[in-house]
Amino acid sequence: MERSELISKVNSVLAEEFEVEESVITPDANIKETLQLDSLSLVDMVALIENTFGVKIVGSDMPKIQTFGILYDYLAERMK
Amino acid sequence: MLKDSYFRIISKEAIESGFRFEVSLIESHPIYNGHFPGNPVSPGVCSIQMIRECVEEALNKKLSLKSINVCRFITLLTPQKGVHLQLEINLTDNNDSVDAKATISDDGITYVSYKGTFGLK
Amino acid sequence: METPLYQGDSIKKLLLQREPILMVETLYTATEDEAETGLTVDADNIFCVDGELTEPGLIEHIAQSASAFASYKTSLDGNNEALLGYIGEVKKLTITGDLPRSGQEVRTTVKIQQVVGNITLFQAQTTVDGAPIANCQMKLSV
Repeated sequence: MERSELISKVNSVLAEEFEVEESVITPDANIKETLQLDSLSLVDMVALIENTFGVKIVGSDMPKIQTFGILYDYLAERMK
Repeated sequence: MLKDSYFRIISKEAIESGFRFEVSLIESHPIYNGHFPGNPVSPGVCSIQMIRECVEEALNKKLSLKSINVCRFITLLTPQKGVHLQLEINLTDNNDSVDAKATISDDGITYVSYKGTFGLK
Repeated sequence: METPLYQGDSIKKLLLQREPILMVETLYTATEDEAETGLTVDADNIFCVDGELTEPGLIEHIAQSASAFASYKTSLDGNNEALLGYIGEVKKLTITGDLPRSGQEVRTTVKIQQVVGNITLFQAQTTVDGAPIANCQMKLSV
């Protein structure tokens, strides 16, 4: 998948699920704050990403994935 | 089942599309002997049952619990914190069922948010 | 004849709940991400009304099934303390069959879908005599 396509898909899927405007999803934006995730909805985000892209976000990696940019990189790396 | 043993209804008020209840949890209920020994925590399922019994009280009908879309237990509830809870319920009547959206809160803290369907027995 | 992993008194090693709200009797089987539990309905149970296990009792049984499984998994890593588990969320619960009656055994299969931090997402399916009566998604906070 092309990087631009990946970014577009991540943004649209997350915007829809968490009911935010796609425009607030920027590479430097903090995921939890932007999507207003608490610990319960964080699990939903991880499950959604896994179901959409087939990439399992390993539990211990989660704390590192603070921004959307880091998430794009993480997925791109594992979808090669 | 739980009314007047686990919780008490202090007041009931009709609001737009539903009801608002003031309830109080009863610290001495035997369920706390087991949940948990030395650490009383109000079980989430009892909050669900409380919502159901308040809807039953509001509609004056017995209900079955058919489905829950989503019920979130946002903040830990204990009998000490539950002395004075506000239960706000919005109801939508269907033919043989009623959709309910409810929150249990107190002083700006939301303990439970609930969305589900009860069946009319 | 299957030999359960934990049954009766030994289940107390996996759960901190006690009477009158101990809602799992047996841990039958467990794999890396799936486990099966059982509970025989007792008319004296706090959630039983007119000999029928009511819906909150069923949900509590499901939650404790998830909790027992979570404790079991940590026991494999050498942790001998039962985990303190709270229900974080119940989602997409449907009750499809008749409520279980006194004397019947309820069996629940819990399957781990996702673990993030201290929250585990489970898919649960409950049967009575092999017939499905309830299913849901549940998040457990340990």
